[in-house]
Amino acid sequence: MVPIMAKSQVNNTQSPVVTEAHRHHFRTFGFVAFPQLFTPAEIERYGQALERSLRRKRGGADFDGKERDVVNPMIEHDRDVFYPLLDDERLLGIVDGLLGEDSLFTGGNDGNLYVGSTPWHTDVNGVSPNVHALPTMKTAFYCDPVADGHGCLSVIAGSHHPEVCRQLYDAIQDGVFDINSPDVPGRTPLESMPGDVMAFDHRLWHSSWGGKVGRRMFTFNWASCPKQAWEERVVPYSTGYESERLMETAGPRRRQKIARLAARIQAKNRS
Amino acid sequence: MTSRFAEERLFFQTFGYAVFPQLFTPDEVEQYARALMRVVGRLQSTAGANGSGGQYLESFIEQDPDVFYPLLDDDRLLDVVDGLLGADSLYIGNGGGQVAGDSPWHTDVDGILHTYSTLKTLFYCDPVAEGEGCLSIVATSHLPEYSRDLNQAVRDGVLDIDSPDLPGRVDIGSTPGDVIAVDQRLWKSSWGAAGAGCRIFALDWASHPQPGWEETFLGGYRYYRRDILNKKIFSERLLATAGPRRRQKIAKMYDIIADAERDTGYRFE
Repeated sequence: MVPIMAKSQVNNTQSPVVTEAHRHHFRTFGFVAFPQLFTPAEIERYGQALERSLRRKRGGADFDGKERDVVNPMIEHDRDVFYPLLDDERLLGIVDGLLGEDSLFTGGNDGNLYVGSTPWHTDVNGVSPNVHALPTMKTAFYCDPVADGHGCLSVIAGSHHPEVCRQLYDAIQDGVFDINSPDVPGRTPLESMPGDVMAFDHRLWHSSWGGKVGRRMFTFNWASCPKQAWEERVVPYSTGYESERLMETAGPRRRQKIARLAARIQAKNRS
Repeated sequence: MTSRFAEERLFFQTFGYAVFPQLFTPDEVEQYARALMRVVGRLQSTAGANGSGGQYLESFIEQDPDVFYPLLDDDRLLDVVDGLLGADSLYIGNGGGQVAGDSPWHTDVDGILHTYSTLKTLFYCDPVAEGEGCLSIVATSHLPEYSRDLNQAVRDGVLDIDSPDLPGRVDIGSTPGDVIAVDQRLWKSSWGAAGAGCRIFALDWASHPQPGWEETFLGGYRYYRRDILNKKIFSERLLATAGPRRRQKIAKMYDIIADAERDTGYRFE
């Protein structure tokens, strides 16, 4: 799943899962895939917990498949199952290896039952061309097999570079980039099996085309540690957590990742 | 700026290339191809190898001016160039021959990261397709930030320029008569041209240069061809036989070359 040839597979980072080739791939193309980081059985357990949570949210009703069903933050809906993901060395290894050991969990986390196609978009600024230079990223995993034209993620390789990202925003305005069409030069489909994890830069243009109704997907969002005021401002913190339990149950690894988020949640709760 | 190719210009600026299907007729392209192969045959002993088993010549146009000079007066081609780079754009060079095997990933302005747009118009004289000798490109890689990271990945040994498997690769199939325009900063390659390979020629163009760095860049571009490749491109005859559109496309280059020769003391052409 690392399409460029990893001549150098030497892992000289502290991450147990990220090699130098992964880091280069992520920096150059804006994404990297980690095949079978989890077992399919683990992913199915998360998928079933997701379905239970969404059914509770629907008041026990069946999913009608008419539109995407989503919960955010997902992990609050079944803490016993999902909180340990924020302590999982495999997932945190990806984050540390790509964004640095001082990187942060932003709180952004959702669980989805997807329907139909998702047009081209980035995860920064919606439709604004104000693209920032701070690396932030999403880790995503599907609980069902997805393929090209059957619901898999498609990306435009390299489009996380602010210059390219902005050019594509301009291209929409100019009418030469149709966000509702999969036919964009450089589209790279990322096919996936349960257990695979994909990491991609929030600035990367991505989409999804076709696929079965109700395909299950999780995302977690992360940021490089902000060092300057403007960097802190662009981190997309999500503070929709209802209890202190996320902090209270944290081991040292999770504690480091949620420190700034926890401060924001506490400030919000105080106010 | 002509508005005829406004949409193609926006596409070109975004993705670094544009395709103009059947701008010429297959018969016209076949005539150019045969003339080109006559030149290649005549100069085979002195032609530079292109590294992939074929024969590729810099400045083939001067070897048969009666056939090739009219290309520089052809409104169909010049309208494309003007549409993409502006009506004040310039002609800066040409090359052609027979390309076989694989051509690894590269740009035409090796390692130079700049915002100045120069353009190659490519004519494939034989049908080419994915894995059968067509042009492959990395869309948007003409933009300096992306190109810089690709360069770095090559230097660090994690991007193999000899492998076609690169994310975002776009294969541009072509039939004779199509013209493919690519920004010279774009990363490109070609894979699997079987047997004797395919016949191809290209004309190179530049946006009108600003005084200073961009003029210096074009002077250096010519110096490379003259001094390293020992090929003369801007001959007296090219100027003497020019119609008004060709003259507009080449006159500035004579000035740039003269200035560069005077400033450096080197003979560029």
